[in-house]
Amino acid sequence: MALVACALLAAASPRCSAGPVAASDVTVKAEPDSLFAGERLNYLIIVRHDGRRSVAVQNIQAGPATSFEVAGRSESTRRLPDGSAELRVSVDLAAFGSGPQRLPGFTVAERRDARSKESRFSFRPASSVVVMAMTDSTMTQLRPPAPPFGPGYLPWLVLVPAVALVLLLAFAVFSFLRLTILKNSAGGFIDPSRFARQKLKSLDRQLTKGLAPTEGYEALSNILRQYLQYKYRFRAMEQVTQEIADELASREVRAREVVLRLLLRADFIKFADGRPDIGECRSSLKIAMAFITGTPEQLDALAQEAGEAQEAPGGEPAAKTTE
Amino acid sequence: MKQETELEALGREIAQESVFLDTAREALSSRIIGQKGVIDRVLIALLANGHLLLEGVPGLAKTLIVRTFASAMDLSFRRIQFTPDMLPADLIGTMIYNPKEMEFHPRKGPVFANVILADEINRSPAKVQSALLEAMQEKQVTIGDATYPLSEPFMVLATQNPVEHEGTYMLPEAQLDRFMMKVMVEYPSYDEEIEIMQRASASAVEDELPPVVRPEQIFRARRLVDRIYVDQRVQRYIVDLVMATRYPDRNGLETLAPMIEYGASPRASIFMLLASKAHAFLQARPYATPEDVKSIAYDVLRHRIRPSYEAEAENLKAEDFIRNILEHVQVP
Repeated sequence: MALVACALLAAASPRCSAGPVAASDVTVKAEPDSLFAGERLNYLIIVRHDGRRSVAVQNIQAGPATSFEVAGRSESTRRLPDGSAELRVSVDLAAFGSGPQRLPGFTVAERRDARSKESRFSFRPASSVVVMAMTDSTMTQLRPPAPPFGPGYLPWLVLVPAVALVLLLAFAVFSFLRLTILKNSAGGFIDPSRFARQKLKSLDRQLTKGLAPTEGYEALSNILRQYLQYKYRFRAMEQVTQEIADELASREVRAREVVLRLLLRADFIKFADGRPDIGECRSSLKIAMAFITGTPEQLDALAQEAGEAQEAPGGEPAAKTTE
Repeated sequence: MKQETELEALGREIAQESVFLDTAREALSSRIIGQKGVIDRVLIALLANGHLLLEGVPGLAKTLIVRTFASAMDLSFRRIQFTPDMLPADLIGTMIYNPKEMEFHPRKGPVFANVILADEINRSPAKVQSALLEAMQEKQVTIGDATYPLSEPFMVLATQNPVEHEGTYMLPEAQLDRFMMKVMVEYPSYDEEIEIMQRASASAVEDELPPVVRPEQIFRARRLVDRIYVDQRVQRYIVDLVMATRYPDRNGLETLAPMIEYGASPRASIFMLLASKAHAFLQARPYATPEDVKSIAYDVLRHRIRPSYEAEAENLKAEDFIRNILEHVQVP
């Protein structure tokens, strides 16, 4: 439904008079004739003239103090078959307020040529549009204009943020997993026995390739300390052998004598410049492996062996570690 | 195997020569109840040729420990009570004019003894405390124009009371740094206190402890301590600990960095090495281990780390930092 408001103050004339433009030459149309506050209407102003004049529509009375706000404007002039011309000014108006709102007035300016004097007259249409208020009737702020996208862009508008969100989530999951793996590799949750076994096997291979037994003992000591640290959750890497002995005793670790004997021997080799042979180093490696992988019965047997070996005469000099 | 054989030989020598320490310990224990840790630290300082600062509240037998130690070792002993009106000359001596000969003669002060007990050292002003600097570091004293060497062994055992602050003068850092160890003298246990009480209430006056150790034994022991093997790994561990007091953030202790105003000096590394060797000697071991280092770390480092204002506000002490550092620096 469209309201065509023809403000023909004089009788409708099919031809334009050949003279100055008058109010009778102005026609206005507004579409739609009813709308919600904040919506837009198309306000078409048509001014007919003899085609030899310069005509302009100025000062459309829309703005903060009125019920209308200009949202866009375009104009064109076309020549009619009878030789006259028509100025068509199309104005997009946002409507506010509520109830019938009279269409905004404007000024028509015209002059014959550049040397003649400009004449102006104001025009106020009598017709109005009905504005249905969705909000407070005092609302005069312009609604955000509709996005200048056609319906073809809409899938992209959804797709691009969705893809970005998925990528972000994937990155977060990756970072979390990476952190977890790093933590595990530092001994957080991985099986300390498996880790120590792998290291011992690697050490065995290195000894075969010619690693010095002294360095082998140092590596063995570090593997054992690391194993104890992650298996029994105490800072074995920063503790001396006596402190480790106390920690293991407080946790009642089976066959702790075995590991302490190995650590004491490693201490002697490291700090007293001891020179073990490759056979002794390999033997210690096997004992360490047995300590790490052994069943409770095997560990008890190992502890007994270690106890007997300690009682046997001729140990390393001054293996006394307690004060 | 050559090195091992040498160590074994050194181990045998140490086992023979360190017997006198057990005798000394027994003798000291007969007069001093408890305080075994303090006695061990005194012996370490004696073996490592260092000086000791004893800190503890009054009545914990600090003076008795030093007096008994000196008499058990057959060493000359002088007790100097530091007071606010004391002058450096009261400590090191002065030149006295002899009117008959019309000449100045040196009168040596109480510092000329083997064992000096500087009792309540923080009661004297800095100039008197500093008068001890030359004696402690150079083992000599200058009176007038002449320099006099001090007798060997020379050992300063100073005491101070941590509770009283009125009328005391904090030891300057240069003075503090010259003490090999600062030992905290703790309260005795319940049973020890009962024994102390019973002994003190007995009317019989105890005779002075007869000497049980000859100075020659001390010199021989010192030579053996010098020969104790300290592996590069242990030396690096010592330096790691000392560096951690200076740059805690490099050792994953970022939170400590603003809490430490300044860390331990290179003298700390030297004294840690010497004290570790002496500690190994006490264990009759011919080589030092990280256990020796850890055992003496608190005593060597505690007076060389200055907590910052923030640390004081948080009621954190040097011991807290040392504990943290020992828990974070990897043992070789």
